[in-house]
Amino acid sequence: MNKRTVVVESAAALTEAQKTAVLAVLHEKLGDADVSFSLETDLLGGLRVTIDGSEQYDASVLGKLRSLQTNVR
Amino acid sequence: MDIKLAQIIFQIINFGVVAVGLTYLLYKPVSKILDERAKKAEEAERAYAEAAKKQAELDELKANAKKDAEKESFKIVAEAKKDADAVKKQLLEDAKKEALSEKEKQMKAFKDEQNSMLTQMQKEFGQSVFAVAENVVGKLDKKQHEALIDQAIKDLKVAVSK
Repeated sequence: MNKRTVVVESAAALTEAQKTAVLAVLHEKLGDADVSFSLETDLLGGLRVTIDGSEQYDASVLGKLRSLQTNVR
Repeated sequence: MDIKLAQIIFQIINFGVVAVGLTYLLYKPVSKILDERAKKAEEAERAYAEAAKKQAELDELKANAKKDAEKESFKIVAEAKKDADAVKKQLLEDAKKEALSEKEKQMKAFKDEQNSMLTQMQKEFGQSVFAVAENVVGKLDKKQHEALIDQAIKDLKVAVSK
């Protein structure tokens, strides 16, 4: 079975403890996965996790604002 | 009294001459005149009868013509009324259609304007929210960012467990 690719983007650099916590969550869901971390200041705050380029968990401030904007419409 | 034969004969001859004279000079011309008058009266009567007949025919013709004209006029009036009703109906339908079309047009224009205003308001609201959020987040320190990320990790845990 191929390893799944996960990109974790955050508005500020993650501490080691945070990285460990994220990896634990991902391991629990996906098992052994290829995880990379990157800095994305446009997210304004929080983080966004993209699995295999399509499945996405958006817990960023930008995502919440977009969700709010969509709900307002 | 003496009756003289010669005188009697003379009287008879005299009477005969007068009778013959009257016959030729009075009776025949008068008789001729009377015949002519009778003939003229008869002709006049015939002419009158013919004229009366012609008059009757003319009257009948006139009555028929009047009757036909009345019939034709009723027909024309009926057709004109029918045409007028059709035109009236058509005009009414056209007017209704036009009014409906105008109403729909106005409603569409109103809805378009409403949607446009709503979209514009949403856009402006979104921009305002983003501007405020950017302004607030731009002032966050490292600890606040860490707190936000911690919260995001918790949210991620919840999302993944579902």
